[in-house]
Amino acid sequence: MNETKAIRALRRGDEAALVWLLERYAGYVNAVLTAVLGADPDREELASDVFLALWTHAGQVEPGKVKAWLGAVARNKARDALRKRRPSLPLEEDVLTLAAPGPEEAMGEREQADCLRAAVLAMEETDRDIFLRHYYLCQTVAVIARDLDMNPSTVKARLRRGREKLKKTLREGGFLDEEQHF
Amino acid sequence: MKSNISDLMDRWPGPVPPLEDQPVADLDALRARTLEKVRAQGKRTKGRRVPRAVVLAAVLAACVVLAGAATGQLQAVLTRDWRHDTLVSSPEEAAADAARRAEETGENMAYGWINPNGDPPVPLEEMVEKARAKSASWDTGDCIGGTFGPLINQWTGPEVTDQTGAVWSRTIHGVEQGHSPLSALFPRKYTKYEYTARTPADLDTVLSGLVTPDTDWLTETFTAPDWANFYYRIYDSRQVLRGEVCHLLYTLPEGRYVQLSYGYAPGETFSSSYLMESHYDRAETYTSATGLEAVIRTKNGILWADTATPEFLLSLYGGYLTVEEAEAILDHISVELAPED
Repeated sequence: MNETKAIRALRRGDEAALVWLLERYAGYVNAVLTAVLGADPDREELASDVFLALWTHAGQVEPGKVKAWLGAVARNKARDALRKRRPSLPLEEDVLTLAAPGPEEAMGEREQADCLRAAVLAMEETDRDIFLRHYYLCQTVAVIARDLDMNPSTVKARLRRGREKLKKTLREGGFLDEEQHF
Repeated sequence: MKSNISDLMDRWPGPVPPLEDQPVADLDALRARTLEKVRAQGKRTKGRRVPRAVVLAAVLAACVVLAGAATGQLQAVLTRDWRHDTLVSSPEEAAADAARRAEETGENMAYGWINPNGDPPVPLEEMVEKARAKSASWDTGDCIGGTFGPLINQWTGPEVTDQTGAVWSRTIHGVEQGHSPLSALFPRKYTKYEYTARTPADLDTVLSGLVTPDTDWLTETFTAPDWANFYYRIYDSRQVLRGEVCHLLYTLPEGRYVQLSYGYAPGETFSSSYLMESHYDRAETYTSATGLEAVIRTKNGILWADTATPEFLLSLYGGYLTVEEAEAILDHISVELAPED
């Protein structure tokens, strides 16, 4: 079995393929859930929900991109769980006013995602790691500082730098409302 | 539209953050819990079936109409059920076979046969143009509907999800209206995930694996015109697979070509029809090296080859393709159908 065969079998409703993928990626899904939630007892339940989503949406998952897809689903489920407990996440947030989507909404969102990707990938490596830990995995400044052995103020400074870079790229791409001042 | 950065990251397209795998404490429990949820979901969706008429029309549309309508092959007797699999030498033999089947099943079925009209093959240029109709209007939606039966007449879209690489994808939504007051109140909704690719080998990366053409051999043996292929899967609103359809076009020197098409509708059953040997220049059955049992026949430059199971049809439509070439193609196609319940 390889990933391509597994996804094909999954689309035909083959439970063995699901088990094969689960055994292959359970460790990664658990890592994402733990990164967001910490040692939370609900992780196993959420992990089974992640693989149930893979079963349900097998038609949308492309071979070779399963790990990324599972990671994104795990992150979003963990983030939702976190929000249920704490409606306001302890993140260094800036409210962005995004340009209203036009009639070609789907295309606009795709371009926006491409722009976001370009902005984050353009960050210096450590800044990018901190940025993703904070805004993608919802880790607090304190946790990042502990894990990376940094001063919290340094983490905050690097986050600020990342945010400015993101806004600049989004603005240049036409994805921020021009009336907004930062 | 106001958004904060963590919301924006919901659409983060990767790469994934570098995380070390963290072993699950009880993998057996996770496996068991997940399968429990999968089976519970299956029970909830049981009983929602696409009407037989819709699925029948889908498979017919996939495997017959594209080639048949173009060639005028469907001029003869239409029957209630079709399956291109029984060669007979006379109408009497068909009647006797139908009577035998009725005795076995306890059900009297109408029967008939396809009568080719003797027209020559569709010119290659026209076949290529037809095969590119989808890719030519990928982002305009000019050609998105009509392939899944008469009851679904509200296809909307397309939502193009990729039109940059060697494989393009888009999503189409469909509503089955039906004729009853209840179906009008609660129309069933379907989603069609469509793909077209530069070459069949590129398209192979998104196929479900139900049918596995040996694209390496096909590519070595034939030429595939760019973007002259098409594949889709249909799911209902519960994300249950309702069918898939694929068309691949290959060409040979001197205007010769072959179009390979297949359609699959899980959970449905199709009965058979008859082919009259005398209507063709040549007609025979063939079992491929991969175990496919097919009926191959030719008339005036056209070759048809069909292989069918109760829920699956695969066909070749060839322009000046030889029987031997058709057999070689069938030898390089594997079909993996899920076991019946």
